[in-house]
Amino acid sequence: MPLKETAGGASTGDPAAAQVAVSRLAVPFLGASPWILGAVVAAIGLAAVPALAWLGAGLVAGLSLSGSI
Amino acid sequence: MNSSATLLPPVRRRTFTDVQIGLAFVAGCTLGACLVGCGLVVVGALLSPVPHAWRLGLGALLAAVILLAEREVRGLRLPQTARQIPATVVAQRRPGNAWRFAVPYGTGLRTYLPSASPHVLAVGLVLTAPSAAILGAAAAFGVGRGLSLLMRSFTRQRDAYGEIFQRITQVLRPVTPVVVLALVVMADIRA
Repeated sequence: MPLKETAGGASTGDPAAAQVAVSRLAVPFLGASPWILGAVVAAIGLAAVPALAWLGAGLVAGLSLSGSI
Repeated sequence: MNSSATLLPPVRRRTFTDVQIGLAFVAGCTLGACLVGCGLVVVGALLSPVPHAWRLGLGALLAAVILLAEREVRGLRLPQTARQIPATVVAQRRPGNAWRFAVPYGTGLRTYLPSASPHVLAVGLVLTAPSAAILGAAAAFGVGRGLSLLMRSFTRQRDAYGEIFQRITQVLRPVTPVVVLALVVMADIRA
């Protein structure tokens, strides 16, 4: 896979070193596919929408009054 | 008029006092807003037995009335305290005075309210938000209310900053109640 070869072995030109570097990077994700990781990130983002919307509503309401007497 | 902007001198001082005033002001506004938020939590808890659909309907009705009252349709007027914070509090430019000014200012209950945004927000919070969201939104309200003075404390050309800020708020202020309402609806739909 070109990605693995360029990730760690670009500086040394050693494919084995590149493989080790990529496996170290991948350990936290346990080899999960990009689609699963994307879905997890999207789920967390969607779950945060209400909280962010409430915070945004409060901030906008406060800013709308800021500078007033 | 006792604008909060007069807590800072027109030209930035060399000391850290101006930034301290700005930070004390934001902290005071946040505390004041959170105190009101605690009250809203209690009111929200009292209304929680009412079915969600009824609360949504009541919220929509009240939001419509608030938006009409902002335009003074049929003699409707927004509830607010037509009073200023005493000039003696603003006169001395110290962090302690900024704090004393900011706590009642942050509540939004003891000063003029030139926008319907806080009314829309309060209705939305009381009728649809969980307790944590009420407190979070209240804290954000306080930060938003005090932020302009903190930003002003960092600027060199304060009069110019004030003029630009006023110009922007005059343009955006009429839109903010609708923006707040949209965010409340979004929060309720996604919850």
